Amino acid sequence: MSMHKLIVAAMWAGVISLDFTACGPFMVSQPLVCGPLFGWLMNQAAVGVMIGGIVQLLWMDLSPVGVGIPYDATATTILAVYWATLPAHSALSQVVLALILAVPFGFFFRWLDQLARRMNTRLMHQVERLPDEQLAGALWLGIVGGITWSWVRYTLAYGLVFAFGQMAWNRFAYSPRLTPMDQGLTMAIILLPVAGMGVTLELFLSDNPRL
Amino acid sequence: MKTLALVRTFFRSFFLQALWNFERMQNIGFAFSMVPLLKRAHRSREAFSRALRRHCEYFNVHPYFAPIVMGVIFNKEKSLSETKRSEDPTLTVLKNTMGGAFGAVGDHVIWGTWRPFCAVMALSVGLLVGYPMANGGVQPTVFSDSGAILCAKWWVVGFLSMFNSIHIWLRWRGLQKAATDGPLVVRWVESLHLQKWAAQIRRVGLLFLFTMVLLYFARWTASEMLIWMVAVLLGSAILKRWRLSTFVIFYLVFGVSVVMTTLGIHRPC
Repeated sequence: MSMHKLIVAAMWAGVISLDFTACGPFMVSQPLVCGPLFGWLMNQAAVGVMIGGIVQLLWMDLSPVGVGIPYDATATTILAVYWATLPAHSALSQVVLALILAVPFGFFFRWLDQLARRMNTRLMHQVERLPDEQLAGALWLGIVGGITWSWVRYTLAYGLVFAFGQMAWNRFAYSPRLTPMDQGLTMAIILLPVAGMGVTLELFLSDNPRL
Repeated sequence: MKTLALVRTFFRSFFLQALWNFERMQNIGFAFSMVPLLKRAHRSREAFSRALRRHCEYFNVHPYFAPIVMGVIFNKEKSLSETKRSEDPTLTVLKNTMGGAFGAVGDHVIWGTWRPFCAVMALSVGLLVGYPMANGGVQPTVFSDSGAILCAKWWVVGFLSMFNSIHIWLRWRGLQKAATDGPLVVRWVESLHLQKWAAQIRRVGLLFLFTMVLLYFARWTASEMLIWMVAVLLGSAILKRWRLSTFVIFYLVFGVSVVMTTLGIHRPC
């Protein structure tokens, strides 16, 4: 994928991720929404549907409760869709491989979010420092600054991680072969939604959902 | 005039968490959202500035319940202005108490129940309409473009419209009621029977989940494959109950898939 496409993809990923906290949230960042949307943007909606559905079911119980920042399933979905759509027509095993590569980055994006919220504390103090008569205007600037900062950091992070994965993908040059590993990867696309259903089943069966 | 201020606060409340920070959480977003209502409550510039500064302190609530707290605070600020008092020590206590209580309700009802329910419903309907069984129900059509597009429409439009209908209604109606009733809005929230509804919704959600499981499992006819699928379903539910991370479950499933293919259980399509 060309550099231009990578930048455009990262910018869209940044827009989708704004829904995580900065705007709304209207749940556009939920994997079952952002997966198909991003897949459609990458011209492979089917890949987005598969990845979005699997990630949604597996990480159904994620919630931003109190100061706790949950695992970033949005990032996992977007990264997996991007890498899986690198070949013109992805095989099922390549979709799973992209997902395997993307899953650890959910923790990386969570860490980035924690870092960004520490930065927000500084921004908040800047806003508060202003005199009373300028406070209303400063709040406007603070909110606009917060949204811009969120978008910029997400776009940069996605751009860098997209590029890193793309390099790894190209170096690995994985192509589907009739090996047990390839068949295992293909089998995983059937079993991962089943595991997700199991996770969701536990969520619905528990009286007090663990949040 | 009041409706206009309420509308402006309603739209501003969507940016409540734009500057979320570990020290005072949603303070800036709350103060930002309150600007139109505070301007309406306090006629003098000094009183408005003082009130705005007051609301820059710590605040945290479930974002969908924040407009209710905003409405209550507007109501209290208005009475503060009418009685010509400059400070009310109970205001902060009220704000934080409501924040804590609505935070807990929102986490349980919205994050823990309504969102998973909408997701499961959209997923099962999408699976039903998007992936019909081809060739008389023998071959699963996991990777067809037309099916995926149909499925995506149901997931995106179905999920978003269903989830946000309640979300937007709760925000707007809550703000309106709270601005009129003040702290007595808790009676209105109580009358919604959210906890009772949540329990019912979870039961219906379970039904949709079982439908989804049946729809998905019906695509595979080989008994050997079905046994493995049931094992994975129950295994992941048990592992989750034992508080094992989904991250671990994900890689375990991948391991199971490799073992299955090594044992010669291949994908039947």
